[in-house]
Amino acid sequence: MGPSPAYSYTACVVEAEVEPKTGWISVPKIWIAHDIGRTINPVLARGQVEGSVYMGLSEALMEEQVFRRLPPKLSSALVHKIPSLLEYKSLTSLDMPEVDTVLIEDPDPNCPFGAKEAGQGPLLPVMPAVANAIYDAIGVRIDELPITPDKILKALELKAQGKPGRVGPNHFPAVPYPEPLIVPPPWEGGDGKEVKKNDAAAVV
Amino acid sequence: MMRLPWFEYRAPRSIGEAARILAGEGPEAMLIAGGTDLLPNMKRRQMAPKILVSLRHIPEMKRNGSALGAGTTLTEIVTKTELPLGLRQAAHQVATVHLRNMGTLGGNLCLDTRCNYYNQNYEWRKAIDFCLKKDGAICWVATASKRCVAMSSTDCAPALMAIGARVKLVSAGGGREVALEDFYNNDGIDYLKRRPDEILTEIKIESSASCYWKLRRRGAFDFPVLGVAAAIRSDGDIRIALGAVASRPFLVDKANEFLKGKKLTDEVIEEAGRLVASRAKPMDNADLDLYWRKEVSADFVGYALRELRGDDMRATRLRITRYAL
Repeated sequence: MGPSPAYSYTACVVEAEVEPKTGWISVPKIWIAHDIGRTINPVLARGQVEGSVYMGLSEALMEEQVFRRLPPKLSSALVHKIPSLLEYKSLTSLDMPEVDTVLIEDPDPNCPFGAKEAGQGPLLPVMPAVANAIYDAIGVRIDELPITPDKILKALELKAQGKPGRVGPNHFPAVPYPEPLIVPPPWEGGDGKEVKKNDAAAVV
Repeated sequence: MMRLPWFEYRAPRSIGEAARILAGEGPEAMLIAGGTDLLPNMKRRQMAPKILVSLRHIPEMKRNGSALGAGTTLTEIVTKTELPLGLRQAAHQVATVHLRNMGTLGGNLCLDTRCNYYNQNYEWRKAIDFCLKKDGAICWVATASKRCVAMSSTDCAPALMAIGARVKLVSAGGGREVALEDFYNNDGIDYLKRRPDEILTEIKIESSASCYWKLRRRGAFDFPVLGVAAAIRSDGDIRIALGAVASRPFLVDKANEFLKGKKLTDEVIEEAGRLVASRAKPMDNADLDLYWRKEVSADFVGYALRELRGDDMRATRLRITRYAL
């Protein structure tokens, strides 16, 4: 995660309530357990983890970049609809749920004092956990962020029509990925520079 | 960095003196009370008055009696438990604690209309060649519109309108009193019927059972994207007022006509919600999806009328506003 040499793991449980008539989402509580290696400063470490919950939940429910295409007679340019932090929203303290933080200590011998990281790892499971909690609450899947009440109503409407109750992009964007380069490490006979030609199957 | 433009500051001690300054200086002068709306707008160069006439040092503006002084801060409104609940709920949901400590009731009623394409700094607005409301020729929200569709974003106006409030306007030439519903134009630029030489000095209210429901994304700091106020007048009539779905707050006559003399049964509430939703015309110039905003206006009318009927709506209120007053 970021500059950390180790892999950290986080588990997150989200409690969500959805009002079926309006799609209004409330998140009263979040439990988060973070594998930190060793906690050096417990207060700061918890603060980092809870801050990640805050950022993750903001990303899940609010933060968005919206662009609007102007009509052709006005240049067809894309205009940013939310160009300032006034309208680019993140949670306020009133929107923040109760957070139950657990630090899992399993010192990593390759890390300083056995400590891994607590900065960004705990952010990542929050968004999928919110999406899953909403699915559990109301039975529809929102496949893009932010998850907003209007998308929930749209998905509920689709579901009522007998279609899949999903809203979001329906395909993965066509990314022109380059061919993978395979550089065998010394213990596989390479010198660290030689590029093995195009034979992914040969390297296990 | 956004800095205030230069201006001359006057601090009169009486309403009469303030009115004389306004009359003498003409439209170059603007009034300032809390400044929470005006000063950020001035930093973004949405307005650059030559003279600011402060109302903060005028004791009459803070008067308290049968009429509320327009200089009463929003925090003071919240703490006065004898005031109608709807007004207190509205005042409590304006912005944040700090802004409510500075912002005044009069200022909230005269709040500049808002829009995604207007409430931006000068450079950003210049980059899109400005907009109809300020310095430009095109409305970026509705490019075919000849009228500015910036949105009225005051919380207190619908709450006061529902309870039948009247406002007093004073100028050097005298004073007049207008019902709050006649104080606004449905025009994003010329949104007030206040003349530039008039001062909004007091708000006359009758006590009545009332409530206010505000839709916004977060529990604080957001302007409304829908405001629903409902009140039972002393003659038993029910009045609903809407905010943030047009360039002015307004009474929903069609629904109020329908509600005349009716008991608030579930069916009546549902029909009233439908009638109100048909009058809500939000535009794509604020937060949240506009079709969704229109759709839920009926639900919000339901919340308001149920609360008025005496149902326990605290759980719903907590879910939506994160705070129950």
